Amino acid sequence: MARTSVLMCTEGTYPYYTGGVSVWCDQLVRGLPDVDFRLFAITHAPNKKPIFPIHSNIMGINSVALWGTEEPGCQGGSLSETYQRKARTTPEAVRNEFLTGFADALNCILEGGRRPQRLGNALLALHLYFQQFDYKKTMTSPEAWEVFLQLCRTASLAGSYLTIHEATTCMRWMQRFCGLLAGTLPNADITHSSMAGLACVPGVLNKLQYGSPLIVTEHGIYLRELYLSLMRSGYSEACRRFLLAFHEAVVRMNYHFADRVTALGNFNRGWQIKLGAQEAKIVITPNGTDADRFRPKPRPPNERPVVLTLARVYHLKGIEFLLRAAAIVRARVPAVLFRILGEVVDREYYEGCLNIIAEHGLKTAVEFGATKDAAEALSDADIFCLPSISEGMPYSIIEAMFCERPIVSTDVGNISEMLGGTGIVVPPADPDSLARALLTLLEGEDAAFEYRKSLARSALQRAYSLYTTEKAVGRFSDLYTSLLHGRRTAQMHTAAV
Amino acid sequence: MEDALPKCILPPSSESSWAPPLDVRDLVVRMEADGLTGNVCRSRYGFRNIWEMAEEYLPVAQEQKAIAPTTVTQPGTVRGYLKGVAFALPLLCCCLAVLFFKVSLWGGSMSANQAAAIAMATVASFAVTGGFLQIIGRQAHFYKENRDWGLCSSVCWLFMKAGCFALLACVAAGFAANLYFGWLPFTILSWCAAFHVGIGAYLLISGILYVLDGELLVALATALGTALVIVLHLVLRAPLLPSQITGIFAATGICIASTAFRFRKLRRGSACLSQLPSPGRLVYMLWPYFIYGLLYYAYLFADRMIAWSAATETSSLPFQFRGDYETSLDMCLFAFIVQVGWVHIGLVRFYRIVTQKEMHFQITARRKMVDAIKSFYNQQIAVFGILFVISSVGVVFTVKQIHALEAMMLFRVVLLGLIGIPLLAVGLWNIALLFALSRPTYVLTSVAWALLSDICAGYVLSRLFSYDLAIVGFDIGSAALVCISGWFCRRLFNNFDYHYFAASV
Repeated sequence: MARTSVLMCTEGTYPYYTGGVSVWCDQLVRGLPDVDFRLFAITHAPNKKPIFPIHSNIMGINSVALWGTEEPGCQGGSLSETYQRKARTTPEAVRNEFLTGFADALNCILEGGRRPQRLGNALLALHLYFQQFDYKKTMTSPEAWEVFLQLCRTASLAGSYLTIHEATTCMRWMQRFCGLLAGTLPNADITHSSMAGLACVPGVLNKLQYGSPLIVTEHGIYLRELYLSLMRSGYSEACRRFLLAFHEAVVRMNYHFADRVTALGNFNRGWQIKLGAQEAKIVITPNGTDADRFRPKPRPPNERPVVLTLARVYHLKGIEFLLRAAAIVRARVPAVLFRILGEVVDREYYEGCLNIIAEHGLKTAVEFGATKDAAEALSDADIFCLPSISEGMPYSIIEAMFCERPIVSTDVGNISEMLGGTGIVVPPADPDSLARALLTLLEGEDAAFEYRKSLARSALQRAYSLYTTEKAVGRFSDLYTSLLHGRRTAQMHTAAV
Repeated sequence: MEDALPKCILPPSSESSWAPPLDVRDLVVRMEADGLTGNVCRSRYGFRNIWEMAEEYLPVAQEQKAIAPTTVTQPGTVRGYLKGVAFALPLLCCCLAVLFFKVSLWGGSMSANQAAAIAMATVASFAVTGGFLQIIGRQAHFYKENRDWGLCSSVCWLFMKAGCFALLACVAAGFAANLYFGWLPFTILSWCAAFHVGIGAYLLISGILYVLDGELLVALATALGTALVIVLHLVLRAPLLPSQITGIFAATGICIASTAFRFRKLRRGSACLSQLPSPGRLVYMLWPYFIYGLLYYAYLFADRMIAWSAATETSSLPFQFRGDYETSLDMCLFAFIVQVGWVHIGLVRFYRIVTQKEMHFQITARRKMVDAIKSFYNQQIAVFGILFVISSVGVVFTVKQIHALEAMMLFRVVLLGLIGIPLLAVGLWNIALLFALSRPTYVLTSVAWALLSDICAGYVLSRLFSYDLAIVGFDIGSAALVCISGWFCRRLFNNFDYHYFAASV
């Protein structure tokens, strides 16, 4: 029987960058040796070296660099092919073959994605155009610029006309983002995108061209993260509106064409529905962790109870609230030690944390550090605490569950759903509640010990039933099978008719 | 119930940039990222859900004033001007050494044949490295802007190696040609080869250090190399040529060590996970810049070559070093340095004015933008005019005051040179604009015509009348450069917004 082939599309993650999404991709590729994967990776700069092992079932990697290159939409090929392509790209060719599709796509974008089918068709037309004509020459042609300005004049992005600077910035974005339409797209039985943004566009094109089913997996919510990053970007209102309109149109198009949209939990699902995904398409697929690596280990006898936090140090992780809670806890349990392990991402924030430590005299009660072995760090802890003010589905919680550690965390993202009552969840940014929760697990030796044990045991059971790598990978294997089955049945039905 | 405004609605107290929310969704995201989840909105603020609370607070949030990002302060006019003339510091160091000690890193008193051969080797090292210097500047600056120090260092060392290889290939070709024609004795030829490779390597590494803003380091290394020549030759009585070779290689070594040190410091903490583009792609992207480097140096030295190769009946070589012609050009060089400092500052101002005007004019007022850019261009040309008058009068006055100096040079060449120099400076200003608008082929066309006019006019005049009239070729070439590059600039200005966009991608 022929092996299933999957085109896995990523953006700023696997196989070139670290992070949760990359780990998930690697798990999926490793966990499905009977599936042939081809990677389509969008990177921020060209010529990246993979930092993950390239498993034997990875049949090839197509990389597209959106930034850091002088030739966005670099189309490869020999020198003579490049020359011929450039020679073919005359102003007439641009006018006759390109401008209609470009104007169509731009209109759909400026409308914020109200017509996803039309946007998909326009992008396909552009993709087919770029198989014959030169990308850079077309996108930097005076004809494209004039059409762009003309359409921007009719759309009101921030209540007035764009300035020339804003128009230049926005067209430059268009020119970078559309670069991924210029390459050749490998076809596969299924396209699986690891996010709902640009990475998913090849899936839409393959669906329109070959009818390949499309799965969109979201770990965070693409547009939500874009809103956050734009808040401090320094761009003008019109530019922010354009960028959001562009990405919203793309996300809505991706949801429209997707056969399945997967979410880590109900928090993400709610956002996906708000952004236009059909409820019936959404499947909850939580992440999984290697249960062999994170095993329950008895805690060696220690006079000081250790509260462990595994998180990078920046404001979204809520370390400041943990430290304020630590001051309350230390007053009642003087021997307690708060161990915070993770890379310092935001130096200024870290210094603020050090000030809190100094202010409350917590020098001996708190230690910052880093670890490469999370399992080892968890085995040396009595309680795991994640005080984040914003999260998706943190791996550290699953790891703590597998290590049979009682968990105290905040009610953000999918955490409550993940724990399902097997840990204590408190409101975010609330040191008093956090301290109270920690004290229930630390105060009153025997009772606290028993409570910790019972929470940890139930968390372990829940982890085994829901969050093993095998289970996480298995869910996608089932999805692949059902989509392929559906496609074959449809093909047979069409043939019969 | 809490009455205080949620923190995420207000601008941050720190100085980081911030913008008010665009819509309800934007505010919801900010609230969630600040720990204001649906449950918190219910329990602490009494709303049914986060969306309801966001709707309520959106008008207040949108009234908040945005905090603009802090912009990098541009250097002032004087600092910018000094940076523009910083490339001349090593030259100044050599001139001072000649003035006080009668010897410098690559000048001093030597026999006519030695002087001619070594002058040719020096010129050849400029010509061979010119293209490499351009592509180092272009590609390394690109990676520098992207803060990709790994690739920046890789591309610099790659082009440095390629440049050194080209220098060695040139030496091999020189030896082969000499074997056939028998121009020079082997010893002189060997010294020439050493000068050629030494100076070429020094130029290449200086080019890299300029990318890393190490102008002062280059000047310091040159000063140390020159000091070594003085000590070896004047104090320890070592022969001139070995002393100079030692000085050149010492200066080069210092520059290489400091470049390596700088790169190591810049790369610290950032793993190099990228690779350079393939050699084919590098060639495809950089060939116009490489050719420009070659043509530019060929154009810069063409009149000298023509003058040195004219009327060589008294020389055993097919060329003859013309000290008077060279000294006259050196005097003109002072005027050039004064004028060319403005090219750098003009370019900085150009970017500043373009950004200002782009932010000011809406897309419905493109014509006004074009007018503003044209008017700025004309203003800059007027400034060149003023600098031209001041520097030229200064040079003529100096030559006339110092009779010893006047005796060493050809006054006619000084006067004619002073006509060509401002034209060259304006030409370079145009070229800088054409590069800024990413039109390297326009640059190539301009320089190619300049070179051709220079060679044709200089050759005919030097052969018909006198060797020193080769300088007229330089004047005509510079005029051609100004006219053609200026015409291209004005053509681009007519559709400026488009060309600026096309160049910025």
